[in-house]
Amino acid sequence: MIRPGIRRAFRLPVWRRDVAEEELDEEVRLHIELRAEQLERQGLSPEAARAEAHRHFAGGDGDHRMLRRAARRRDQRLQFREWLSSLQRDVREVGRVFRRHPFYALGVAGTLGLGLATATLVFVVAWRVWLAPMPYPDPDRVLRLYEIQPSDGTAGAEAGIDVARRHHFSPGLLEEFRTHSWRTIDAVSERGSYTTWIGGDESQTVSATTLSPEGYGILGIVPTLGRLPTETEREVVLSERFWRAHFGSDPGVVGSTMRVGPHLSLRVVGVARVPGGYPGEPDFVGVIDRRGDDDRALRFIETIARVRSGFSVAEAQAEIDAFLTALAQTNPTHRGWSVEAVVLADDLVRPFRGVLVLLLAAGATFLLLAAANVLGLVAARRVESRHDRAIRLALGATEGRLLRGSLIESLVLAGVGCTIGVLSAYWFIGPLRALVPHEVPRLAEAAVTPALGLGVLTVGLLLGAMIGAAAHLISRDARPAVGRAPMSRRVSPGSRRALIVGQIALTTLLTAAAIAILHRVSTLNAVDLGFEPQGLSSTVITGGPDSSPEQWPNVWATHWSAILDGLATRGIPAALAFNPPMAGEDEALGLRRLGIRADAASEEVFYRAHVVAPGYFSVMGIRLITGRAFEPTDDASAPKLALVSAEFAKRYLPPGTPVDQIIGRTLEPVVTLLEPATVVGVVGSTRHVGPGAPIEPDVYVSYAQQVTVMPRTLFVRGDPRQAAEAVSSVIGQVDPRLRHTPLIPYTFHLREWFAPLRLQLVMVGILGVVGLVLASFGLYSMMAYHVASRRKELAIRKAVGASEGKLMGSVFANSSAMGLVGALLGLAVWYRLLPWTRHLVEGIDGAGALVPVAVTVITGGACILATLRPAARAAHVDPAEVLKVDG
Amino acid sequence: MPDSLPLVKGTLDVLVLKALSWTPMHGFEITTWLEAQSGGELEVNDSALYQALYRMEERGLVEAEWGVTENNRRARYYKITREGRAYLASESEAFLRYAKTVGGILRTTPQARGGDS
Repeated sequence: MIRPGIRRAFRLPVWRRDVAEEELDEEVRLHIELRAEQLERQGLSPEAARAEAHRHFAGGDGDHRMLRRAARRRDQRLQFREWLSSLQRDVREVGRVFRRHPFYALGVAGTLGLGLATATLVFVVAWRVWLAPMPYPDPDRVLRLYEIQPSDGTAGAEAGIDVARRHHFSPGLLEEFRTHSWRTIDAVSERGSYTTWIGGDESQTVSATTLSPEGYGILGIVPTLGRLPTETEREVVLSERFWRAHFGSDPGVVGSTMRVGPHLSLRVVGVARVPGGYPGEPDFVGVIDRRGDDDRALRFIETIARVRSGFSVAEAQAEIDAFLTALAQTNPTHRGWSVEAVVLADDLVRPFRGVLVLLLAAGATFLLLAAANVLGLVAARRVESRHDRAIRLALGATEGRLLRGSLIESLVLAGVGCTIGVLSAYWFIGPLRALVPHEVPRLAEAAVTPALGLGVLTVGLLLGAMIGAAAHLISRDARPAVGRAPMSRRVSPGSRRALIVGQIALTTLLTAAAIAILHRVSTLNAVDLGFEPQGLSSTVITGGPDSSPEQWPNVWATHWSAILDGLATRGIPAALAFNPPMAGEDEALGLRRLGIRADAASEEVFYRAHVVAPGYFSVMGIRLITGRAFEPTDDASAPKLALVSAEFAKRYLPPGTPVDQIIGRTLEPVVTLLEPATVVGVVGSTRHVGPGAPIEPDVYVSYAQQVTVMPRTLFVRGDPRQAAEAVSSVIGQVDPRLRHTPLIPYTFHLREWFAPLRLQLVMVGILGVVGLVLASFGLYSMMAYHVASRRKELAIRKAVGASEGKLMGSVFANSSAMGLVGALLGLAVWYRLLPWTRHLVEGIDGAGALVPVAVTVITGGACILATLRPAARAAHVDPAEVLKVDG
Repeated sequence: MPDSLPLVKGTLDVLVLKALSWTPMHGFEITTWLEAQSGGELEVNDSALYQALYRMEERGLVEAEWGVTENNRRARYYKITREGRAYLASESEAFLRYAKTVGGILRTTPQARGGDS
C-alpha cells in the first residue's frame, strides 16, 4: 500500500480531472448566483432572474463543453508547471548537496560508473567474441574439418597428445573432399590467410584470405562491383571496407593490377562484402588452386565445408566417416585416420568460452557490488543528514517529497555514473583491443554502440532508482534525537560487514588469479623452446615435380639443394624440415611409436619424428650436445643415421652412450618412417606445440635417407621482408611449378599461442583492478557509515579523554579486521579453486609466495587508503557540537 | 441588452487584464466592472470570459487562488502577474494605435475635387 504522501509527490496532472471539474462547477455556480442576485435587485423575480442568469452564461452545451475543456487544460498545465517547478527545486537541492559533499558525489557516480564500465566492457567482449551471430550465412551449418591421427592407446594418456592428433588437411585429401559427390555437404573449401604489404614502400600492411572457389559461397562473399575471382590465382576481390579506405571507392580499380609484397601482381576483378570476424575482415580475397597436388602427408590446409540444407552435422559426419573408410581401402595413407567435423563457430570460440563465462559472471557480480557500495554510501549520507530530514518533516514535507528527493539524487548520480561508465567503456575498448592479440576472433569489431549506451543508461537508471528507494527506506527510521544507527532495523551491520568481506575476498581471488596468470605468462615467456624463434621465418613449399615416392630422394634432393644453395648465395641462412616445431605444418606423422632397438620388438615407445636437411639445427638454433649433425654426404647410399634429442636419450637410451646406438623399427599399421638407424648425435630438446607443452622425445632423420615424406617447410633467418623476395625468386628459379605460402615470422606463431592466455590476463587484470577499487569504495562507505552513525559515541569517548590517535586506531582496527578476514577468505578460495582453474589456464600454479605477499600488500594498502578519511573524521569529531545537536 | 456592443475579436483578454490591473477580482466582478466601465455598452459572454481567464492563466498572464467574498462565499480570485502587466501594456499600446488610425481613417470626409483642376 502506497502512503498518501508518497502518492501525492508523484501525482501527475492527468490524475486530477475530477478536482478540475468540481472547481469549475463551483466557479460557474457562484457566477450564476451572483448574476441572479444582481438581476433580482434590478426587479426580476427570483425565477426569472435565475433563468436570465443561466441564459446570460450562454449556456449552450457546446460552450459548456469548451469551457470544461479549457478548465481541464489549464488545470493540467498548471499542475505540470508546479510539478516541474518542484522538480527543479529538488534538482537544485541535489546540486547543493553535491557542492557541499563532492567526495560523496564523486564516490557514488564513480563507483557506479566503474561497475557499469566493467560490466559493459565484459559484455561487449563476450558478445562480440562469443554470443553475436557469426558474420557468414547459416553459421550452424558451416564446419571446420580436421584430420584425426590414429589413436594409440597409451598416446592419449600423455599431455599434449590430443592437440597433436588433430590436424589440417593435406592437399590430396582436400581434393578428394572437393571433388566427391556428397549427399549431406554442398561445398568444401580450403581457407588460408596471410599478411603482406602493398605498394613499393612496404608502408601499408594488408591481410588476405585465400579460398577455393567454393569458399565464397560458404562464407557469403557477394560481389557488389565486378565479379568474384575464378580459378585463376592472380585474381582477387577487394573487401568493401578496404576499397573505401584505400581506393576512395573508385570503381575504376576493378580491372587494375595491384602489386602485393615483393613479387606478386594481382588483378582486381571486383569489390565484395566480405564478412569479418574470421578472425578479422581481410582486405582482399583470392583463390587458391591446388589441383594436381596430391600430397597426402603434408597436413597444413585449413578446410571448411557447409552442410547441405535439411541435413544435420551428425549426418554429415556419418557420411564423412563412411567416405574415409572407403578411402582407406584404396589409399593406405589414410588407414586408421579419420576426419572430424566441428561447427566452425564453436571451434573459433572454444578456447575463449570458459574465460568469457567467468568474465560475464564477474561483470554482473561487480555491477551488483558497485550498487551495494553505492547504497552504503547513500545510506551513510542519509544518516549524516538525518537532522535536515527531521527539520524538513517538521516543516511539512511529506515522506513522498523526501522519497522523490532521494530518487532524484540517486537518478542524477546514476545518470552521471552511466555517462562515466559508457565513456570509460568507449575509451577503454580501443586499448583493450590493442592489449589482446588480434588472434582472438572478432574482438577487433567490439565496439560501444549507441544502442548499447542506451541499454547501459537504462540499467544504470533502474539501479539508481532502486538505490534511491532503498536508501530512503533505510533512512526513514532515522531519529535525530536518539542518534543511534538507523540501519539496524533494515540492514544489520553484520550483513554489511559480510558484504564488504565478500568484496575483499572476491578482489583477493581476482588479484591472486591475475598474479598467477601473470606469473604463468612470465614463466612461459622465459621458457626455453629449445630453438631460437627471434629472427626466424618459415614458408611451406607445395606443388612441384610429379614422381613416384621411390624417386623422391633423387628428384627432391636436387630441388632442395638448389633452393638452399640459391639462398646461401644471397647470404640468407636457410634450412628445410618436415614437422618443425610450432610452424603451420603441425605434422601428425611426427608422433610415432617404435621398438627402441631393432632387435627388441616388445619395447615400444613414442617419439616425434622430424625429417630435416643439413643445416637445420644451426638455422633453428637447436643446440648440438654431442656427436655430429647431418652432412651433405649422409645420402641414400650412406648407412641410415639419426639424431635424437636429449629427452629421447634420457628416456630411452642407456646412460652415457647415446651415440652409435641403433634405433628404429617399423610397426604396422603405422606408415613406415624410420628404418633402423644409428644415432650419430644428440641435440637439445624442443617444445613442439608451444611454450606450455611438455618436452617430448624427438628423432631426426636426414631427408636424403627416407622416402615417406619430404621436408616442405623452409626456414630462413633474418628480416622476413628482405628474405621474402629472395625466397620467392629462388624457388621460382628452381622450378616454376613450385609454390609457397607467404613467409611468416615465428613470432607470429608465438603470439597466436599466447592469445588466449593474454586475453585471460588482460580481462582478469582489469577485473582485479576494478574489484580493488570497488572493494576500497565499499570499505570506505562502510567505515564512513560506521563513523557517521557513531558520532555521539565517539564524541563521548573524546569528551572523557580518548585521544585522536585512539579514535583513529579503533576505526583502523575495524577496517583491518574486515580486510584480513576478506583476504584470508579470498586466499582460501583461491587455493581451493586452483586445481579447477588449471582447466581454464593450462599450467597455472600457485605462484609460490608471490600471491600471498602481493595480496597482503595490495589489500593492506587499499584498506589503509579507504579508511584514512573516515578515521580522520572520527578523530576530529567535535564533542561540543555533536552532543549539543544530538542531545 | 439589445443595444450592447459585441466584443471585437481579441479584445477580451486585454479588457480582462485591464480590469485586473486595478485589483484582484473573481469572474463576476470582472464582468460587472467591464459593464460598468463601458456604461453597459459592452456585452461580455460569461462563458467566453472564463475561457479567456483560463487561457491567460495557462499562459501565466494571470494567476488565481481561492478566496472568500464579502458575503463569505468561496470564489476564485484572479490576479494579474508581471507577465500579464507587460502583455497588457504592449497590447493596449497596439490597440490604441490601431483604434486611432482606424478612427482617423473613418473620420475622414470626402473633399471637393474642383480646387485641383
